[in-house]
Amino acid sequence: MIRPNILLISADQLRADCLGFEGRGVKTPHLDSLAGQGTRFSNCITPCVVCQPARASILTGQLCRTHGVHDNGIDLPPEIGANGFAGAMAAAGYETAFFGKAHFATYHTFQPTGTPECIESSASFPETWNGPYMGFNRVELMLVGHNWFLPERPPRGQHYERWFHADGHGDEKNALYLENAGDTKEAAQTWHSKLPVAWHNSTWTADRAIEWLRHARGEGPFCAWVSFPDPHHPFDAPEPWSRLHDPAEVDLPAHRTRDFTGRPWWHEAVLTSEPQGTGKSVEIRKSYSRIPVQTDGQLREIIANTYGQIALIDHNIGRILIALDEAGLDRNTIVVFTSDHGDWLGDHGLILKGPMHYDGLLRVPMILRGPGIPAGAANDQPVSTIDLAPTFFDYSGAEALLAQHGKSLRPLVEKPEATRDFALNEWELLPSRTGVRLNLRTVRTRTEKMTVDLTSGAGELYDLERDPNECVNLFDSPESAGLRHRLESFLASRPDDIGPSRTQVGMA
Amino acid sequence: MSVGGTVYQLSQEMACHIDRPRCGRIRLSKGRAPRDAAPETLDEAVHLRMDERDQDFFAAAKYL
Repeated sequence: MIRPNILLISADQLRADCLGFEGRGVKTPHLDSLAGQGTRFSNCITPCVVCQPARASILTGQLCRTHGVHDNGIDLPPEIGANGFAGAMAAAGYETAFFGKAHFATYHTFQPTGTPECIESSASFPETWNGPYMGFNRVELMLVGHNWFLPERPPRGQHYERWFHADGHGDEKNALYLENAGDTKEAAQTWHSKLPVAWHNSTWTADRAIEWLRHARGEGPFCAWVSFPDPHHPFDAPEPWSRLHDPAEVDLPAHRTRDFTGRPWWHEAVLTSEPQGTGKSVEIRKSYSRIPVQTDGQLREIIANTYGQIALIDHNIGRILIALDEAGLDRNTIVVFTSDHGDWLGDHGLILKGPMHYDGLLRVPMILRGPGIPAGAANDQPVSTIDLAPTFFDYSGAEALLAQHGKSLRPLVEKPEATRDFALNEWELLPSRTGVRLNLRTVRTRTEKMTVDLTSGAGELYDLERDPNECVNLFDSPESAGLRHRLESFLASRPDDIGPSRTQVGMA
Repeated sequence: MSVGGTVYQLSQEMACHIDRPRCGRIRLSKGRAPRDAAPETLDEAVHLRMDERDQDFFAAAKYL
């Protein structure tokens, strides 16, 4: 049997419902086509709602309190990362490669950490460095990828930043990037960027993957991760993509007012407490990671711009899939599309992310296309992105090098009658982010969701069938005691392999 | 330089670079999109306005 190639494509901060086939009017023709040719999971969740833990979990197949990256600002130890799915696939004879935003290690660190993703330490990596890194034999990286922090000037930066500045005109490009080519009604962190699309990091990410597919890969099977850094805030889609969706026509969330009554205590506390840390990191957390309440008109600008970012990713995914086709690889390649986590995008009056695990933030896209995968199928079983590593092992015959918390999606793909009971999410939140320390555990079934703070014992529980907007917290309802007990038993089934707390090396 | 009413001050070297963008061979579907060929002018490369060319581009790419 010929072993299939694996091509994992991910976005950053992309909600599951912001794809064309989900019905919100987002223009994603290539991803719609991919879903039509493959199988999609409508109840896939992230194992953690912020980047570093979620990405470490995708790589390792483990929940975050086991691999230890339980919040942003904590590095994935190289000895664990190297034994993630990429390392396992490499050990099985696969060529492994990574393109784009990795975020396996912290960018903004308190001290240089020596990793290629530490901005300070990146200056010590020569231009010829291309890995290995975290099990990937070849890497082409960008640092941060969200231009609130502009591409670092050499000698700092990695492959994208060096390319961006190589002609000596990086500062001019950055000046263009920061200009707003239109009126965005003073919506927070939102503008029509004048950065030419040729230099946008979504374009670069696809360019590098296409170049590798066409000219640089070897003859054997491959396992590659192409990681786009958008539609993460700021909402800075470049023209003309920023104008592809009319703000007047985008949908607004059905429930878009802040509502703290009946919610666990931290919902309000994380929005009003002072983040802990140094002056600079506190300022970043308050100005960059918190968005004040927006008017409907401003929210429309944010949503339309986000849709533009997504469409630009879709466009570049189309380019990659055509390159795959032209290289004759499409029939023996399993293509997976997902995201590290979602975004509230106005739900409950919230934007961005935090410890309110509403479905817009928790649920992520999951599409699989490839040999043996039914076309046009939709599966609503609760799954997680930690299921990807064991799925890759299942299809390739590779052996896991780490204990796996996830399970292969292949049985669900091939047997419509197969079921799952639940998927788990966890986040040990450091106070440097919001000023509040939390130890959250979330369980998501096909129709219910419960989140508990293990420290205070407070929680929230929603019936997603009767209450899809998650407005009625049933956690303390006597009528829901049986349901709560069942969900608590799911949480308690977590493998007993929680590791030690790791040191925070940078801004969480 | 004026593109769609927006004025830009760009050096000659940067303009030359824009004339050869890395996305000069974009293909979006089985058919070729209008921007598949490398742009001939700076105005064409720096497609900063939702003008008629963008309409063609997005239509060919199935976004409209």
